[in-house]
Amino acid sequence: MELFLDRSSKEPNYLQIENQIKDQVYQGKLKPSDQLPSIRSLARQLNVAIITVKRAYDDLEQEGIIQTIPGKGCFIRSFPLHQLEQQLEIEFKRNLETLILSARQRGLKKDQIEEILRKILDQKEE
Amino acid sequence: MSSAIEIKRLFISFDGFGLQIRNLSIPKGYVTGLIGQNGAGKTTLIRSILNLHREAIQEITILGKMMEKEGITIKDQIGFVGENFLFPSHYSAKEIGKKLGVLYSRYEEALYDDLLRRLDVNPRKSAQVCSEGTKAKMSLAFALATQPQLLILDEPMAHLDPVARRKVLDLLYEYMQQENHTILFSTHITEDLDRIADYILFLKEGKVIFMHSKEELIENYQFIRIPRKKACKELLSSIRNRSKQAWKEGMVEGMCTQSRRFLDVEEASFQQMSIEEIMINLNQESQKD
Repeated sequence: MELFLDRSSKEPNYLQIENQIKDQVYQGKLKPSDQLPSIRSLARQLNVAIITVKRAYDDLEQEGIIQTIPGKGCFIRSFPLHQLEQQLEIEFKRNLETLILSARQRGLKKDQIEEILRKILDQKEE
Repeated sequence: MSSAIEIKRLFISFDGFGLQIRNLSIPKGYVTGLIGQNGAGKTTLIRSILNLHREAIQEITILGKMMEKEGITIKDQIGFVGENFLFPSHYSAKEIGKKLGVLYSRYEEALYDDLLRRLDVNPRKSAQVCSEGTKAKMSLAFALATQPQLLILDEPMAHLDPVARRKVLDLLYEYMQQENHTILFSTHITEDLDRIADYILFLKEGKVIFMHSKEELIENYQFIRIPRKKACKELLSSIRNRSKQAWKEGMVEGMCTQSRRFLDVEEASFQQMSIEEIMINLNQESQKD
């Protein structure tokens, strides 16, 4: 499994690990029942604390994306595709909410945000 | 979570210095970094854990056993690297292994040779003609070769160059692949803590200021910038080491110690801090009062 940590990023390390594993699941690079590296070996590989990887794995387990089988290791869970899409939607909504909140805090108005969104979506369709 | 070291109480005082600790536990299976300024009590704490301060009043359990009662059994399971070279200085690395390896029940020569090779230590060179860095590498290789359950390191990186430091760090990661292994190490090089440490124990003037998991520390201790009128009383009282300049400009700037709680406050912007920055901020504050 290839992960890359951006140490200058504002996003904490555990979240980067979490998000990159999720991305790989959504993109199909990681498939159900694929085994993840152990917490300790991933910590070594990425040069982060054990507790940092543990936190990422705990979160992923709570969200139902991975499953720990004692004595065997961590695996990607098998779940139906629509659930994956739902996850993606929830995730997208959450990210968008954070973005919008910070934009509004800095003074961007509702219609300006709508305008920007529409522009981006239109560009993509062309 | 079970603990590798359990300190019920530890009181010690000499030459105007005192160390006072109650109920501190070093978790098993993780790396705990010990930080604090010179004279904060880091070495004294480590020496007390190893039962080297006879005058200390202490109740400490290590790996579930009391040092006073089962000292030999416990010391067999501890690997220790101190600030000073502990072996006879005319010994070469090879001789250290030959003569002292027998004292440890799980010492393995092949492992020792391999570690020396990986750390670029010439096994036949006598320690007295080696640099401080090489001696530190010898000590660490020997400690690891005794295959301890608990590794205690006092400033292990102090004399190492960046390349050697990276190698040592990787050896420590390798050691931690075993779930029942524990490391306690004191250091001034907080960059290493930013990477490997799971818990940070901060000592100041002989007292524990905090013992937090790194995740907790990074989430809670952040740099905050917020307009004065937007900051409530509770938020204000959680900001340490405030900038006077920012205050004049109608802003509050400083280190917020409860960032997670105030993350959603309007117009507040937060920035993660390194362990070094957190440590400096906590020390500066005490200079002011």
